[in-house]
Amino acid sequence: MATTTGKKIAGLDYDEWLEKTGKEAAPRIKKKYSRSLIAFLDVLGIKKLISDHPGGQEHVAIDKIEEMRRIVEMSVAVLKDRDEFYYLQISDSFVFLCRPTDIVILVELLSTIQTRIIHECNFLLRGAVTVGDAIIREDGKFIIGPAYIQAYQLQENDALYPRIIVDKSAITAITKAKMAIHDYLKEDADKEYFVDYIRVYMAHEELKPADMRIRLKRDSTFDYLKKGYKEYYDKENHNIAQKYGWTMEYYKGLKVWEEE
Amino acid sequence: MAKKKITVGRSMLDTITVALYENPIILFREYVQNSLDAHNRAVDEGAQEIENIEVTITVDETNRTIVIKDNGYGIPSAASFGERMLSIGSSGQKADKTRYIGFRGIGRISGLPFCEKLTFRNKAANSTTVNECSWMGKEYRDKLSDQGAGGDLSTIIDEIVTIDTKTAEAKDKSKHYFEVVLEGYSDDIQATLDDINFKQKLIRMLPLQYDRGFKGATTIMSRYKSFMKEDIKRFMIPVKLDGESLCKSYDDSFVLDSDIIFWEVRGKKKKDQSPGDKIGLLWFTFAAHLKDHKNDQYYGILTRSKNVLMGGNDTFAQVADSNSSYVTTFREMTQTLRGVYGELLINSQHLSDNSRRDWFLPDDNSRDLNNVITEFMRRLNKYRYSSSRYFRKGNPTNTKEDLKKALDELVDLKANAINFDTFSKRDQEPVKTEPSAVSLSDEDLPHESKTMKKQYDVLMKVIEAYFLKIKKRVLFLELRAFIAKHFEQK
Repeated sequence: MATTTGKKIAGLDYDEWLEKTGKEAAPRIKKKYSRSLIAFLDVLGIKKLISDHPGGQEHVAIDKIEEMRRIVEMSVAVLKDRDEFYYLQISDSFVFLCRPTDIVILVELLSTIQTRIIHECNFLLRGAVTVGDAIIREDGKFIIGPAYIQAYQLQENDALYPRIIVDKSAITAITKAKMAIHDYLKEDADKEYFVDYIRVYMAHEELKPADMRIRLKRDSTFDYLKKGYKEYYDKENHNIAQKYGWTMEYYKGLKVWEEE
Repeated sequence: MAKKKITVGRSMLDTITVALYENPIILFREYVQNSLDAHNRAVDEGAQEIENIEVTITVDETNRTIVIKDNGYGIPSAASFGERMLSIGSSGQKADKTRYIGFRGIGRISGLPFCEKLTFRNKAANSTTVNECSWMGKEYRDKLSDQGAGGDLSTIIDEIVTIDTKTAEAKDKSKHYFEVVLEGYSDDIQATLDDINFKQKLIRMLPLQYDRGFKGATTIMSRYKSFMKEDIKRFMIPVKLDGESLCKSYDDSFVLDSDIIFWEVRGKKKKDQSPGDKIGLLWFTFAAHLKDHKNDQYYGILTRSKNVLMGGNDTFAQVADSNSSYVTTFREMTQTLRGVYGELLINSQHLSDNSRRDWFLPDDNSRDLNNVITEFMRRLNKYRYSSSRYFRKGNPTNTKEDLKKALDELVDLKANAINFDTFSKRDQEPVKTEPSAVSLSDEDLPHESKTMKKQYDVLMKVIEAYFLKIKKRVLFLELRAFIAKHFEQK
């Protein structure tokens, strides 16, 4: 093997070159967080879906989860060419990340996903949106940062009901976008703001409450909610029953619930 | 003994063109290289080099027409025009394949599957006539789909091809050109044109010149000349797409920390220990700490045979991946290539481009080339690891010598000659050339995962058996072409 002493690359001997390029390379590998908008969504009831379909029947659970993933992918497809928009699926959770200035687009996207997953797959969603520091690597396959943790914890601890809550930092982003908060969010009894997904979806699809009601009826959404409420109420599992109850009340408030 | 009559079936033309030119972008390469070859041939036969030789590509999306025109000498007489336009699989070019890019004489009809009418128009200098030859693509396909129609290939060509001579306008007497016109081009072509990367793909594929702003070009061309004893400019032609000049996109920003490094690539030493045959010149450049360069269609080493692209950005990784002598993951290698720019400029009479022109026919010579590439990938990967350990950990002294050694192996080929004997016994044996040795998945989905490729091969074998049973092999080829295109776009 040849000795490397005295050999040159780019006009410098190897030692000089490594020293020079090493100094230049150092700042480049320093990684920094950037200000991002993050949404964390969790599909409720997946644990039950999986335990209800043990070995041999697992395809039912897998098909259902894939159906939800397809809905998310189709909804995201229109945004895939947008700069700095990433989404990631981790088991039964979905994470979305984009620039804070894209808050309205994100809220519209979340509304579509939440509406379609309830109506088409009969699953409830819970989530949170926040603005903060995060870093994205490898085209969105790796997301980490305080904002990600904040979104996860809000979803886990504060969302409580099948709603996507929006924290103050994200509300500020809507204000900065000069959009009316009440066109996109609703304030709940516990003072939390959440994505008013049916209203946003109806506005986006140009549907009137009567049209929406027909859709919900057609998709058997009323039956699904009423059945879920009754099943868990009868089992005295009020923690789950209230999730269906909350959704029914939300629909009633928007006048899209079935006429009694 | 009675002379045997050989009948070539009418679907043969479709079989050839669909199999070879499944991706419509290829037709641009075929017509541009035909123009370049025609000019080189004329010069070789004594004509003066045309200084402002160029090819213009004009796309009229409203009328779905593409015109590819050169200002070369054209074909000198109506008789030779007719003869050449009607010959298939006979390029009429001299046997020395190092002098011309095309050699099969099939590329001329590469546009046929993708348009309703394909016209060749020829005007020689000082001629008072313009020769025209039109192939009716739509008619041909209609005839093919007519199950009741008979006739062999020559009968059908007779029915779909017309040759005509028109009087040139007096003012055009001194003009000389050859043009190809595709009228009523297909949706496949429209999809190719609509691809936002169409121009970049074209630039990478065609035998273009370097951009004038790329100072490294002078060094590369002069080193190529001194090693290969020929001017690479012979295989470069100015091309304009809708008026915009196309050049290889390298500029000085592509030259990374290492500056430009050269490997003079040869096959293995001969039995008498004299140097191996010249294969080509490899130039490359890399950052000291190999890392991605984002939004960059030029990453990796682009292999070019007579300056025409063979394969793609990850071809080096694919070659090394298929070589049993060096084992690492394909993903590792493609990531390593993300930190490098370069070209392997090949021109060897011992290597034959395969018909799809994505690599060379398997034989002893191409095996030598594959071994050189594998060795390059091994050294590059070793450098990547050593540099990563060195730079990430704050330049520790104990890793520096390893890094310098890896660096030396990568940049100084003379001092670290490739030992071909190290390649495994399996690779020393002649490569089998049966078609079955090439997997369909490698051709159709080169970038997909191994698992997917395996499943694809199993499934396609069954599908092929079905199509062979119903005697519709052409449909099978069309299906493969469609799948390959789908995955390429993906």
